Amino acid sequence: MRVIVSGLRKTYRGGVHALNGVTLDIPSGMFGLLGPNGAGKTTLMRILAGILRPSGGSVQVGAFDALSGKGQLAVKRLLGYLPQELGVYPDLSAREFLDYIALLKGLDDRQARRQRVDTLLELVALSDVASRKLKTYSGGMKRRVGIAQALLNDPQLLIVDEPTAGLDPEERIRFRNLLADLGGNRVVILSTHIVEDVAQTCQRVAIMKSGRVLFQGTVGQLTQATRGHVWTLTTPHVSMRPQGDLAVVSTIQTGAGAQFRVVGDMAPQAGARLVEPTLEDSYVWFMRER
Amino acid sequence: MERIWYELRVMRLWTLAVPVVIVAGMTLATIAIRLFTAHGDHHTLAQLMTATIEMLLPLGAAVVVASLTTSDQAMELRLTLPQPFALTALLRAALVIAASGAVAIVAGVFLYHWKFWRIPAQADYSGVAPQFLELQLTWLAPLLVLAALGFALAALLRNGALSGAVVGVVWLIESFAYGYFVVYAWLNPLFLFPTTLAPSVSFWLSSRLELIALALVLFLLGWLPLRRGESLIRSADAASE
Repeated sequence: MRVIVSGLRKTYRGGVHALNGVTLDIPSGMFGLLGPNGAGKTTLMRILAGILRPSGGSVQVGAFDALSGKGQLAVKRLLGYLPQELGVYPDLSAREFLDYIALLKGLDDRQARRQRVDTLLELVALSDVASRKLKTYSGGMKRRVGIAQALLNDPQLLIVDEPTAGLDPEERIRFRNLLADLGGNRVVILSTHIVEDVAQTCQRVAIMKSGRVLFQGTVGQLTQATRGHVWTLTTPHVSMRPQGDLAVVSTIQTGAGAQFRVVGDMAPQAGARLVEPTLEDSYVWFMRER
Repeated sequence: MERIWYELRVMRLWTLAVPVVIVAGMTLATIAIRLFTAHGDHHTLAQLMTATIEMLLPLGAAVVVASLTTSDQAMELRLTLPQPFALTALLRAALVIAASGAVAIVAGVFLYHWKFWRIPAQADYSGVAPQFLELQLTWLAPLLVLAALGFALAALLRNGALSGAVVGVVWLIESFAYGYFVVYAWLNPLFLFPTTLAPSVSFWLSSRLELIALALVLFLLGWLPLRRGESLIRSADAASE
């Protein structure tokens, strides 16, 4: 299974260019799509999910042309999708919600459907509260219901859009671990602006900005591309910030002064020490460069 | 059946109570008029009760259909599922129409039995069963047309409240300017409420059938834009902002 996106363009009414010739090659496994808000990630996800029609380009999902009528239907059958804002029916319980979505996904056999729902409730650790109405659920619990519904049809293509936004650290870690377990033979596309989520779960990554892909490759290749551009330096006072064409990634106040972590083309000043880049450094580097 | 049960739950069950509330409210009002006012003659009361099933039930159903057609709390997710949302919207409209129809039939039995149903000139013949069956066109035609209008408007405008308001304006025009629909031949097929307002018209039956055909066209008109996920997601995004 492979998703191949070629020259994808999307222009909304009013001339807003959300995607400007996006080309991606996404193999099986976890694939992180990083970018700031407004980069075009959600538009890309919605096109892949068959909600939006692109203005140009092509999308191939496995053997199917995802933009043709027939192909789109075939892709929907093998798709699991967790939108950024998962709306739920507040008066249904989690079990009823999953059963209803399973019906809509074509799982007609009642016995098999109930069994699948119970298995997934177990997987997302909601079995104990499965009969409670969804309006009583916290944000994290709703996300877990969301991932359960996305898995109902055992999808070959799983798309999750900003799944950890707004979750507390514990819920975020739990969710990340859940996602990491789902990679395997399916394509899992994780769209997010939270670098740590990608760092912890994905083998491959793409960075988007203003509707374009700035980078795509493995996480190792991404950090490799930034090697030689990340520095730490200590200044006697926190107000003495590093000068020049640099982006400050982090600032740690020490007793006597401050330690800055910066990315830039040249050594910022004497005493600066070259360090190994992290994914976050690389992300800042790409955002700053282009 | 499971699917229908879930759709009713998602639509909220109170939507099905609307026709019951309308008929119960109008029945109480009619009883009050009979008991406490000087206008309680049989003709007036029959007109009121006929208006209940011919005019008010269809209006209530149309407003509910308009509000349901393009709104779904899980719209983005729904648009990624193999089953088209247009089919779901149509199913929900059918459930609303069925609920109103069921209430109209039950109410109609009592109205017919106690002679509170105004009989149009064209259906004024002996033979209880065929007459009762033909009289069902009284509520069926306006119910289908107004519900279809609410469906099509909501699909085109992607705004349930606005669509409901437009249906309300059409209803008002039909109710208060009905003379035009009687006098002008080209407006005859569009006359929604002849049983209540002008039962002696000679085109009662033909206009009922023409209205049912019009309803089918309106449903088709609404079906087409509902197949486009892009417009639905835009309105869902706008609603959530």
